[in-house]
Amino acid sequence: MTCPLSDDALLDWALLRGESDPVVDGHLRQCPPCRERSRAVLEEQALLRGAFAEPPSPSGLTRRVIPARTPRAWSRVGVAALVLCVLALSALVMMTARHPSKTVARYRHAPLAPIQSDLGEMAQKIAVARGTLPEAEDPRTSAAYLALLATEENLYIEGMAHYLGERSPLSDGQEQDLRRTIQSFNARLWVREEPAGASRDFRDKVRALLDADQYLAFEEFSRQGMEWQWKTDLALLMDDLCGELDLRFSEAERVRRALESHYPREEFPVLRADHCPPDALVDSAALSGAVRNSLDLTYQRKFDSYLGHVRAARERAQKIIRKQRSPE
Amino acid sequence: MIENPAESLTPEALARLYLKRVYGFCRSMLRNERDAEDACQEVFLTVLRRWDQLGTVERPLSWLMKVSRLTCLWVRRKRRTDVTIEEAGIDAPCDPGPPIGLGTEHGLIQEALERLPERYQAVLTMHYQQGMAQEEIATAMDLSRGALRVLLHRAVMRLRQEVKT
Repeated sequence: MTCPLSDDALLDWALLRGESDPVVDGHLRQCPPCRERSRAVLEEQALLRGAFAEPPSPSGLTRRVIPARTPRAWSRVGVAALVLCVLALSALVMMTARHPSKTVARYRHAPLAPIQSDLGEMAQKIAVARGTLPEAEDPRTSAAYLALLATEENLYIEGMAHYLGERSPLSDGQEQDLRRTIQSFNARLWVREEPAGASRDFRDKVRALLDADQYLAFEEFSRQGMEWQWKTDLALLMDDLCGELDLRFSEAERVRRALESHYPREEFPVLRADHCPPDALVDSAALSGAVRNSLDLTYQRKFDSYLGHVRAARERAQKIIRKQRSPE
Repeated sequence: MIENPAESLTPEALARLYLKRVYGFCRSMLRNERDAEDACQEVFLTVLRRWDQLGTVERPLSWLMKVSRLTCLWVRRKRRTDVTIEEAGIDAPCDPGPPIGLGTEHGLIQEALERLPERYQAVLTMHYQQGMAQEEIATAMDLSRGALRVLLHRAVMRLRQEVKT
């Protein structure tokens, strides 16, 4: 007599895992051969559970996954976090300014964060606008782009004047001179004059027109600004690369490390002119090489194409600027 | 089981709760630690993007596994390391033979698993590794309970056959 419980039925019963099947259960109680067969199937199930055991997750995965955000939002959060850090730093500077030490007490300045936040926002707008500049010259677009640059310059001048005059207010004459000096410096940067030389001249001129307290404030403004600019540039560039190259997490991490090692630290104070973070990739072969080498082959082709776009957009922007601006 | 994670959990808390399981699934499906980490990252990015919808999902684990499976397929396609999915072979009859013997090495089973069609791999991983109930797997695979039972049954039979060869 053939046993009615087929191998298929037995496997289905085993796969139910915990759910009872009265028909099969009843049969197994009465049929020793089937009980023996069911034991083999259950042992197989246990073996398979062992073979499929969850692999241990790598250490650090939690840390990397939990703070994840969408690529663009993630970078924005990074920038926001940066702004918060700057705020915290400013608060710290203000707190230390209350220290009885005379030297420290001299640097009780207005917080830099609002100025940096405004400048950061402008930097993003300029980067976006530059990316959309048409190949053929369009007077309206050019004018809009130049207006953005002028707004950024004004923000910078007003922010700096406010900051420098916190302890020792600037006279009207000083403020006018400072404005002219910054505009002149900016114009030199806009036409890509050698930045280190332009920066030295700028510092010398600023030193000549400010008193000692104001100049110390200027140095502090520059020092904090440069650090902030470096970090903001990196965050913006990462954001751009992640989006444009559709980077996966592991690639993005390698790119970040390459950027952190090779992204140049500017010698001049926070002033963006028409500088956009990807420009550094065009200017520095070491940086673009490091980023390229950090990528897999498939991404390298995308990166080359991205670099081509950056170069073209930058040339279009420079064409507009050269037409409108020239150094004093 | 979290009934309504969007109401009771933050995305971070959900990630903490399910991270190991998602990683385990991705690791089994992709056979590569780095790819699994990337896939895992993508899965939780999707969670963040779709957090609003997640509140209405009845089975968050099923939903996560569905997203994980699609992400793994995407990673495989992107990496071009995957063999063509043998959908045509899925319903083909096979001679499964007896249950896999107790002494069989886990490595042999894993190798056999790699030779199976992706759907079989997914369903077996959800069943044996994730310990998901059939209802949950059916939801994750967009199948009826009956279709899932057939698929799971066939997957085990194919696995037996592959282990034997």
